[in-house]
Amino acid sequence: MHISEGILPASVLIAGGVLSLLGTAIGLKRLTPETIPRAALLTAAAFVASLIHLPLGPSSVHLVFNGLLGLMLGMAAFPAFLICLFLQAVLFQFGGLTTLGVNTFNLAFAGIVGAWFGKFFFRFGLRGVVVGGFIAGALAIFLAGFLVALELFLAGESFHAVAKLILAAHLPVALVEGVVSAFICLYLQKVRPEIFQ
Amino acid sequence: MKPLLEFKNLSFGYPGRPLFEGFNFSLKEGSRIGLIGPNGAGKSTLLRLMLGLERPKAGKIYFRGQELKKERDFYPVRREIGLLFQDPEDQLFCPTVEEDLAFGPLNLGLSRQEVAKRVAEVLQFLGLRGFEKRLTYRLSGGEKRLVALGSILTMQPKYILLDEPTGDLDWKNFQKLVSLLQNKMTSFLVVSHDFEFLELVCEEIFWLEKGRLEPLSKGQRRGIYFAIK
Amino acid sequence: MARPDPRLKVLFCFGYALLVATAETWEAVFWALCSSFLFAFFWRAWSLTLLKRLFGADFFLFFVVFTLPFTTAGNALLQVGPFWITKEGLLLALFIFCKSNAILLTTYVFFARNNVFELAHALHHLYLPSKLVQLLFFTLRYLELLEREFKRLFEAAKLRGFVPRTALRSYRVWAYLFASLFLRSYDRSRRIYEAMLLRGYQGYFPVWHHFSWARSDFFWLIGGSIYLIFMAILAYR
Repeated sequence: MHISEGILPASVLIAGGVLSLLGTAIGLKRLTPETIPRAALLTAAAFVASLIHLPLGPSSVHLVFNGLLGLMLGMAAFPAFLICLFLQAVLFQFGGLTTLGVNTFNLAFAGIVGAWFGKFFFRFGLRGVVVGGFIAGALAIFLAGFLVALELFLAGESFHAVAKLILAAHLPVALVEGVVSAFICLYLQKVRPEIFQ
Repeated sequence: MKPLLEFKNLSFGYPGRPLFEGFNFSLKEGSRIGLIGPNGAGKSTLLRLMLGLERPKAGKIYFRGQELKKERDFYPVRREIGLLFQDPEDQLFCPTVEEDLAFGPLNLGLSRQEVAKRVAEVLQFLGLRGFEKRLTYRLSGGEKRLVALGSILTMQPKYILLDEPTGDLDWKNFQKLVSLLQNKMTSFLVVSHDFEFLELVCEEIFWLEKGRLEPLSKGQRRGIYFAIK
Repeated sequence: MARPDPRLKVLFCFGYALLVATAETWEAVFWALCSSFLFAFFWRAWSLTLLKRLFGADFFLFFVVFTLPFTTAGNALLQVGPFWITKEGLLLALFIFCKSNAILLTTYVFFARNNVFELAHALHHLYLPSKLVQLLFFTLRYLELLEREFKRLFEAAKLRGFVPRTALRSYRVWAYLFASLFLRSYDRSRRIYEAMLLRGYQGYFPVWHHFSWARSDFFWLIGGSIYLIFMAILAYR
């Protein structure tokens, strides 16, 4: 879920911008000529896949893949999501230009943290990969939702109720993302384990 | 004449699948070679070995008499030998035709004027004038193939390797490629399953199977030709 | 009059979005909205797609805008069930809605109908880090290709009887479809890198396309600057 324009105060926007700038700088530094096309194509794949809506009860959800990109790209998830969100803002007017920093930080940071926890389980064979994939996917979404809620909380008294609602709305999505990520990791670990570096 | 590229006693294989053992081969400028053989015989791998994308387990590779060992040694090889990929989408990574054709020569450090001249010449050569600003991902399959060929020609290679170049060509573009290879290009090696195509453009045709390269004699060629007719 | 240089468009849009998003006064938001409408008329941007984008796209915005009237403290206006709508809340919601739409409208007019590669070029010439621009280029170049690839995978699954449902088995199929997409992208990226190597790539991506600064751009620059200064004064009075 990305925050749209005109809601957050300048201080939060700036803080998000600075943090994302930092993350992007580190992420770019880690990219070599060889990994640039890889990062770009995986970003494009995540972008395409995140446009797909999966049925969830009477409604539908789309996945974010921030945990998965965290697993595959590490710190380069920052530039990856910066590009994803930039494209969504200019192509579809989702999110926004001024919230680019905040949104990038929410998704990339949460993805990297989720992946860090998930990766721990990868050493325990294929079953560990399933568990790790679930944790990476679910935690990344939950954490991203938590960050969104936190930022709304900082925006003022009126937004407290929305913040809680947003956090609650992320729970089912986190579950779906976790399940799907687990299976994706299982598949990729079997077929092409080097994709997780 | 000294061969352009030479394999001596070369061995290579993928885990659980040995491909070449004590393999010898040489490539001369001015030769038009066809390569045919069953799936998985290592035809594409052979091309990759020539350009240093895969390294042999044992044996030596020489380029103009110089032995090639490090990644850096392959830079001049890649400058003089071009490879047309199986899937042109992999090769056309720039947004517009013009930029894609310019990528190679710009990396060679040519001036913008020289690059512009080469791009124009190659488009003229391929009969694709006016394609400069076209977006690569909007081209038809055949056009993509020709532009990918163009992106190699702007490097002005001495020799060209073509990996399954006829897959996505319609009849018109097939004719175009055949006439380019017959009339305007003198040094190339084509990998293809299309025997008729190889007959049309190559002087020599080799059969690759189980790590052995057998030249097909005129009689064998005629035999195969009638067998598939 | 010639269209403005893409670099100017990018700079103007970012400046405009920043000002409007952080504006504190109604005057600023009102003028921003008015000028956004004018831009849309001037560059003939009105279309069904635009309307859909404005009203259908932003779920998050609606979420916020519909809850704010209930959750803001202030003078009660109207009772809906157990909840009260306040005047302050209504105004805040409207304020945010107008801001957001003014920016949406302008980004749409300036970017959405353009060639995105032109935009990427502009960012290159605005001195963004080369690696970031390379990432953007490759992402853009292969976006449509991967979309087609996923569509093919999905259709193949449907032809074999796959029906999307809320069920673990169904999610597993989705996961395998996504995984194939990631796998193909990964493999393709290796071939692309090899293609680049074979054409002399050593880490520096040469850029062929250059922009030329037209005389009309000078007017766009001055006009844009004056507009932004005017907006800044209104916004932070």
